[in-house]
Amino acid sequence: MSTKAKFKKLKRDPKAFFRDSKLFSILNESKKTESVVINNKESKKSKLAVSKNKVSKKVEPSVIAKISHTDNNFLIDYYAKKVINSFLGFSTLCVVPNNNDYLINQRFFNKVIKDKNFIAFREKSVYFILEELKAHNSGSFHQKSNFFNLFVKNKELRSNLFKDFRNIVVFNPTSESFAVIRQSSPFLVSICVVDSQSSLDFLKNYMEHIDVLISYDHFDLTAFRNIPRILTRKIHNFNFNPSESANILYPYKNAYKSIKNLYDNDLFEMLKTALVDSSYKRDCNLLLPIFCTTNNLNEIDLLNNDHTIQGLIKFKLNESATYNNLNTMVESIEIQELYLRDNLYCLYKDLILSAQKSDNYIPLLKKTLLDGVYYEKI
Amino acid sequence: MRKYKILHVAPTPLVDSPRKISDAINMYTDFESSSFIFNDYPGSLRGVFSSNTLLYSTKKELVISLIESADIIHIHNFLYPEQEDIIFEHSKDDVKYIYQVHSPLREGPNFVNYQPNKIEFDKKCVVAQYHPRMYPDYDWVPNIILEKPTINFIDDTQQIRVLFSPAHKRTGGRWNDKYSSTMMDALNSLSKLDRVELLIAENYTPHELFQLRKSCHISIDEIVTGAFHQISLEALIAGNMVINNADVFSQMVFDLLVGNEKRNIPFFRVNEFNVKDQLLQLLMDRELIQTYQKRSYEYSQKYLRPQNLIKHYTKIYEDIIDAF
Repeated sequence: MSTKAKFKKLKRDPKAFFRDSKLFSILNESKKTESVVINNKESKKSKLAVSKNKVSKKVEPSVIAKISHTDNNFLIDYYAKKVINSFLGFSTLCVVPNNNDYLINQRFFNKVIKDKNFIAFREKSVYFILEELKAHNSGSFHQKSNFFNLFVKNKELRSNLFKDFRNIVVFNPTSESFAVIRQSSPFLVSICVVDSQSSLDFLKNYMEHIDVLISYDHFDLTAFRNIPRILTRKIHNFNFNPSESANILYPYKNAYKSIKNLYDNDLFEMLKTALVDSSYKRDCNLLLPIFCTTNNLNEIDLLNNDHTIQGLIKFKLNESATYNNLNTMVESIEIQELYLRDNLYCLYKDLILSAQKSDNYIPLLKKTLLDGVYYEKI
Repeated sequence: MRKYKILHVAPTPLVDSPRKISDAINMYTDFESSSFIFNDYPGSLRGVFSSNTLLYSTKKELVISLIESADIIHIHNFLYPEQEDIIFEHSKDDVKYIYQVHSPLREGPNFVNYQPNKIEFDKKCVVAQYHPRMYPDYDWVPNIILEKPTINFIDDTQQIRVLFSPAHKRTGGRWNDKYSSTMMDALNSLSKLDRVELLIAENYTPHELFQLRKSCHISIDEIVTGAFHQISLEALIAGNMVINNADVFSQMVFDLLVGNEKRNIPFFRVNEFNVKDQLLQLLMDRELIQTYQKRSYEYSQKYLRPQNLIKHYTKIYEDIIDAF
C-alpha cells in the first residue's frame, strides 16, 4: 500500500488503519522468521541458529498460517515450516478470526505469553492461525461439512503440516476449522473455549472432535457430557448474559472490564489446566487404577515399565452371543478391572469421573478404543 | 437361480485385498464377481499389486460395462468425487452399494471418514482387525488369503529364516506405522549370528512374497501400533511363527469373527521395549519356533480357509438382496 493510500485510510477509518498495521506487522514478522526445531535430533547448525534467534526474539506470538473459506473449500496459506518446542508437548495452535483485535493483538495473548512461569504460555509455545471467517447467513451454518471433500481438495491438510502441535485452541468457534485441522493429525488435542450460546449450538455438530471444553456454569452442557474433559467456572462480579453472543472473548465495547474479568475469572487457569493435562507425561506416567474389584495386581511394576501398554483391562464377555460389530461386543463386556496411564487419566478425567459415578465404564472404553488406546488384558 | 453380479471398486490396489475377495467369491459362491481399480500405486510399487485386476485407465469400456451390469457395487476404502461420479452415472437405478473400510480414521492418506456426495450405502463394513474401534457400528468382515495352509518346519540344523516385509516406511500415524528403528537394530545385530538368515523383502508381488514366506520360519509384521495386518494372516497360512504386537482388542475382534472360542490366535508378541531380548531368546529356542509354526498351521486350517471366510461377505450380499 502506498503512503498516499495509507494516509487516506488513516483519515477515512483510523481504527481499521491501526488494527491492520498491527496485524500486518505480526504477519510480516512471522514470514521473515526462520523457525528452527529444537529437539533431540538437532544439528550443530540448528543449535547455532537457535542461539542467534534468542538474541533477536520478540514476545509476539507467531502467526504461522492463514485460513480462508471459499465455496465448499478451505484454503491454508502456511508461512512457517517448523514449530519450536514441539517436543515438550506444550506447542499450541490458536485459531482466531483475523478481525478479532482483542485476541490477535497485544492484549490477550501478550498477557498469556508474559506468564513466564508456565512453559506452555512462553512465546515459542503459542502459535496462531488467522481465520477469514465465512459468512454464516447462507443457512448452512449448522450443516456439518463434508471433511472428506475438504481433504480431497486440500493438499495442505493431507500433508501433516500441524503434526508438531499438541494442542489446538479455539475461542467461540463458528467454523469447522479446528475440527478439520484436528483431523489432520492423530495426536492433536482440541480445546474449545466457549462463552457464547450460538457457538455452543454450532459445536453440537462437531462434538466428536472436541477433546476439552472450557465454558461457564450458566450454560446447559448436557449435550456435551461425552466429551472427555469439561472445565467450567462460575462468573463473578460480571454482568453476563449467556444469550448474548461472544461477549467475553470479543469485548470491543467493554474491553477493560472484560480483560480484567478474563484474567480474574479463571479462564487462564482453566486453559492452563487443559494444557497441563494434555501434555506428554514422561518420567513415570504410571498405570492408574480406574476401576478395580481386587487390590492385588502382582505384575503391576512389570507392566508399568512396558510403555507400549497404555491401559490394562480385565473383563468377561458373554460367550453365548454372536457379535458382528464392535459396539455390540463392547456393550456386552463386563469390566472387572481397568487401568489407564497417568497422561490418559488427565485427558479423560471427566469421562472417568462420570463412569465412576454412574458405575458404567462402557462409554469410557468406547472413547479410548476410538482414540487408539493400546490395552493389555490382565 | 439368478446369478447376482458383484463389482469391487477401489481407488488403488489396497495390497490386492479387494481382488482376493472378488476371486474367492467366484471360486466358492454362486455370485459372479469382478474387480477394478482406478489407479495403480506410484513409483516402485507400480504393477506390484495390480497385475491381476483391471485398471480403469487402460480398460475403460470394459469397466463401464461392468458398472452398468452390477447388482451390487462394493466400494473399498473411498472414491474421489470424480471417481464416484463415474460409478454413479453408469450404475443401474436399483444397484446396491456396500462400503468397506481398509484404512482407518485420522491416518494418511485418507485421514477422515469417507462421505460420498451422491452414493448412499446400503451396508457399511470394516476389516475385522484393529479397524473396528474407529468404525464401531460397521459390520466385521475378514481379509481373505487365497493360498492353502502350508508349513516348513524348522529342523535342528537349518538356518532360521526370518522375513520382514514392510509395505512402506511412513511414520507419524497412529495405526499406519510399520517401521521400528529399535527392531531394525535388533534384527541387524541378530542377523550376524550364523544360525539366522534375515530377509527384508520389498517390491515383491503378493505371489512372489507368499512363495518366499513359505520358505521362511518366522515372519515379522509390525510391533509399533498394536495392530496386525494382512501380513500376519499370510504368515499364519505359510506356517510361520508370527511376530507382532497386536493388542487384546485387535486379536479378540478377529477371533470372534472367525469363531475361535479359545481366543488364542497364535501371535508371538514383542514390543519396542523387549524386542532385542525376546528375539534373542526365541532364536535360541527352535522348539518354541516349531510350536508356534504348528499352531499357525492348525489355526489356518481351522479358521482361515477362504471358503469359510467368504461366507461373511455372502451373508451381507444375501441380506441386501433380500431387501431388493
